[in-house]
Amino acid sequence: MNIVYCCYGSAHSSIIAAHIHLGNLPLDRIPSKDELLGLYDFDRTEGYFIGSLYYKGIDEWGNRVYTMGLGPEMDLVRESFLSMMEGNGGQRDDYRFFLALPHINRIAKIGGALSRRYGWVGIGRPLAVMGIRQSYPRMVQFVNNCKKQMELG
Amino acid sequence: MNVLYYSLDNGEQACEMALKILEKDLKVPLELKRGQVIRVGSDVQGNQIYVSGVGLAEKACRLAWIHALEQVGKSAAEWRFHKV
Repeated sequence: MNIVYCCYGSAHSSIIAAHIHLGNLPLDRIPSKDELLGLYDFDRTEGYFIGSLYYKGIDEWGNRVYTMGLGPEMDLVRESFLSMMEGNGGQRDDYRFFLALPHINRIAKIGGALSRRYGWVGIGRPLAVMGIRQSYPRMVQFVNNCKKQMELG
Repeated sequence: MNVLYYSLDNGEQACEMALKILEKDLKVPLELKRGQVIRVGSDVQGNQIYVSGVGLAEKACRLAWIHALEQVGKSAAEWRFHKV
């Protein structure tokens, strides 16, 4: 099975969800600013890579974990990916998409947009980190729910 | 070779283009789901013809197609994407 955490640009919420899923971030505490900034892919993906699928690792059950930025037309881009894959011998059911974006707060979204969309990294990145830390318990709950859904099939 | 005609609407213009190209071998669907890629037939050279509508997400859809092909072990080099 392939798990795809998705958000707007594959730079913040999906990245955090994937790292929580893979055990690179803690479940029992809020990670420090340095831990978040130390992630190689946090607040890094540029907007022109929206639509790209990024491989992040294999989880404890052997599922491959990916992230994907879907931009503003989320359903359309997801369907484009799945439809093209399905038409070329892939199985739609082998891919589970989980939308991470609703599970971060407004501060993280604004910070992420300032950093990635407008290039104001100096202002945006610290805001994104702050927002992610505030939202972190929700993110952990979200990932745990995703894992439960995967277990239930 | 596979040729995908896409348009920046819901695929209506891409379907119209496919109508012209395919002529007799016509299987153009009446309605495309947003983002859906559909094979509609093959042209006289034997190219497989597909259509899709990408709305305002052209760049993202093109990347999504390429990554989807990679996932099934196929190369985007076997494809031509034509905006209508």
